Amino acid sequence: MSSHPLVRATPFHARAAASNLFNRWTARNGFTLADDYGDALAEALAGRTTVIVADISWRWRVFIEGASAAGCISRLMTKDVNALAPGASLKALWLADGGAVRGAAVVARFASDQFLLASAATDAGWIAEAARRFGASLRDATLQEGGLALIGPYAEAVLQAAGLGADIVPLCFRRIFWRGLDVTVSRWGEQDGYEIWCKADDCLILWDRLMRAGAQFGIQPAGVSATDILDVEIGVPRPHRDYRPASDGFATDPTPASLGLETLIDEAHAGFNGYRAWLAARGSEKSSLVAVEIDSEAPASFTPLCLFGKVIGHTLTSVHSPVLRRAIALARIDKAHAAPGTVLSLQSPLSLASQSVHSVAARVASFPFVKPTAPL
Amino acid sequence: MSEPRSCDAIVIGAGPSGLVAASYLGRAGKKVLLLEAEDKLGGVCAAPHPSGGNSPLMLYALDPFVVRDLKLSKRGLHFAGRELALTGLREDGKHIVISRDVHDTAASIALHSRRDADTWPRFRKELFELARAMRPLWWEARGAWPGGIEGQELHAIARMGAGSWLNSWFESELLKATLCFDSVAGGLSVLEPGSAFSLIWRAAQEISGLQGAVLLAQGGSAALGEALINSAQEAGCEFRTVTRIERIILEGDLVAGVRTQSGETCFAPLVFSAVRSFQTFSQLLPPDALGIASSEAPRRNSPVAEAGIVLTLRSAPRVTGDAMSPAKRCIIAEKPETYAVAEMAARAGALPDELPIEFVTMAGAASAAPGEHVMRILARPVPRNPVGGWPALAPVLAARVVKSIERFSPGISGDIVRIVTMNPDREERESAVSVPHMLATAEGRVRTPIKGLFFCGAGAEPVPALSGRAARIAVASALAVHS
Repeated sequence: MSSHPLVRATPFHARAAASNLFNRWTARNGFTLADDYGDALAEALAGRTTVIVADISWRWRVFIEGASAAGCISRLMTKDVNALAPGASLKALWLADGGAVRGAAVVARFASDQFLLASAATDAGWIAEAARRFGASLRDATLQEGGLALIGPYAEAVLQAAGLGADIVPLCFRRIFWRGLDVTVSRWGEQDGYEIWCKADDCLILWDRLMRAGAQFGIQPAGVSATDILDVEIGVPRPHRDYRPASDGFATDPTPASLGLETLIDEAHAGFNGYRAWLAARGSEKSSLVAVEIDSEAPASFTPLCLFGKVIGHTLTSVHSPVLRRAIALARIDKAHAAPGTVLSLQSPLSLASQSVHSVAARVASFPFVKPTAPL
Repeated sequence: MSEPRSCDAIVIGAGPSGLVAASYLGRAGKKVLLLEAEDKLGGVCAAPHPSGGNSPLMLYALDPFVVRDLKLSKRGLHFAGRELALTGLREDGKHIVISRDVHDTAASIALHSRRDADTWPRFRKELFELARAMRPLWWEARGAWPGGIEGQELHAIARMGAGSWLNSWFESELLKATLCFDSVAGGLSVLEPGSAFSLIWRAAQEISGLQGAVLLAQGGSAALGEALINSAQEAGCEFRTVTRIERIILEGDLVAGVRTQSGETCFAPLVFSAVRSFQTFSQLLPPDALGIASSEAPRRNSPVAEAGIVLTLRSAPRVTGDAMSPAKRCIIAEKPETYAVAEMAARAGALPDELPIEFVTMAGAASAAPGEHVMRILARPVPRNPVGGWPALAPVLAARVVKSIERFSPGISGDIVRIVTMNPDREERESAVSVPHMLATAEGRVRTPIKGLFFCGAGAEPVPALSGRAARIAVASALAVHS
């Protein structure tokens, strides 16, 4: 049997399978995950009104260690990690030599010579080459650990009820010994929630404890569809879902600006890989990432967007937002027409209900569509 | 720690390419420092061969300009052979002998196919015309891609495998298989784009002058090494052996000199690296000098390689139906598919059952002991990193190769005094042959993203070869910029 099976289950699979009543599954980053546990819209709504738990073990996590680890990551990533204190994290990109986005990650400093890079997509060869050049060592923790995200206004309350109450501010994390388990509680997500990480063998215990503690708050598991809805509501483009990260080392597209990710670049940090190419291309991008509200309930992913009959871009992931009660989408359109309020049109997709194609109005909006709900 | 010193140019590596670069620089009036990690100058020419003496039979494609400019003939470089006919072996003795004589070759081919014999003169003419058209791009610092119909045809051939291209010309499997051996140099497959172009590169070598694409230096490789050392000495170059480079020093994106492992610093506005491009980028430059992709690019390597074997024999080998004299390059491969099947096995990490083999022998070209003869054998493709490792596989390879040659030279196994296998270097990081590399301008191959740093080694050739041409072009290119 291969050590890298094509289909991999996360350490929470046994619990996910028991809860996945309709047996709906999907794959992300090589892992099998519940697409939804019955009703994706209800799960997404719960993420805004109560609390949900989502399996995020599929995210690629690699430790970069050694005396030269900080130098290596600072060269690799678009922000300088040298000033990062242990227990703190930052979000940054890594770029190809040509300036294209190869990936986006959270970089967390565990010790002076130990960093964790957590990303929604794997780029093992590239990171390994950077580490090799600097003499840093790599340790892939993706299969050794599992993680759950707690999202919703009652996420903190669930943590406290579970005895994991920790005063953690966004972009920080803490390692906690929790009733016999070593866990790491982080706040790396965009939803103002928490992530709890533990060894793969302890994952079922973690799931059970959180579900028991969260029962009084109406906790429910959420599948990938629900977390995608929450992502789009916040306006976060994801690799392999909304864009194809550069795989060629000299690629120039997609640029950080065209994906709305320039905030993840520290211009003062001039030493990162691809800096010169990024600087040279800066401002010359023709397209930009925008939020689009669609005058319809039907999402329209990867559909051309028109202005006065001329195609000026296309949608990326589109979802029905249960809180806005309409379809929304991330979109890449010509920069000239990216001002909020610009009215566009798109062709509604064919569906089983409607066999005819018709034009639907869409409006450029501002990010985020929805702000994460604060606890009452 | 000694005081920093300065010179006009530093050459890293005193192998043949480094010596050529140093000679040209010295002749241009530059103050040159040549640094060599080993205790002898000459690189592969000076390395004692495991079979005893200097490397017995090395194949060169020396640049005619290098031979002429550096006056190598006057410095004692003579050739034991200027032409080795390519011979496709068949067990029944009906070998195909491809020599410079078109009519003799056609007569030899006619034993297998009348049609191919008629086609041969046309093929050879077209091959050499295409090779001539490519020469400016490959051999001149500012050469351009040929235009017109030839340019279009070359574009098409650049995207073809040797198997398909030869199929479009010939029907004889033995003829195609014999020609294919040169197309799979550098880890290419006969089915892979670029392999047809390798044949054109080989033809370009053959029309480069009397020394041709394949030649044997009289007295072995040491004769070439000595001639080049003599040339560099006369040009006033300063040599330093047992000097390993720790870092190439940069100022911004300009090269500024080198620092040795012993702590010595030498400043120079020009640095020429004759060591492998991957080693230069990855080990000698500071880690943040280049982008990750730029520094990684030369590392892309083929999973297949070639292995050398040297047999020392008690008597001159003879081949069924054809004496080995005059000297020939003999190829054992039945048909083009032999290469493709062997490639699949080698990629899977196994030694192919049927292994394409080339063997050469020539009196006077080696420093064999009196009464002994040396046969140089090349087997390709073989796995670069075989399952179980090369130490375990080497005896199997040697046995398989000897058994294969025994079919054409009965009794040879009883004549063997010594067998030495030269396994593919596992750490070999030179670029695999690729179409973009072959189609790049000569200047594009010798220049680096670091201003003032140039490649001058075998890896800067369209197909890695020890010709000195890259060194000549690197120096011309550097002096043009520097002046």
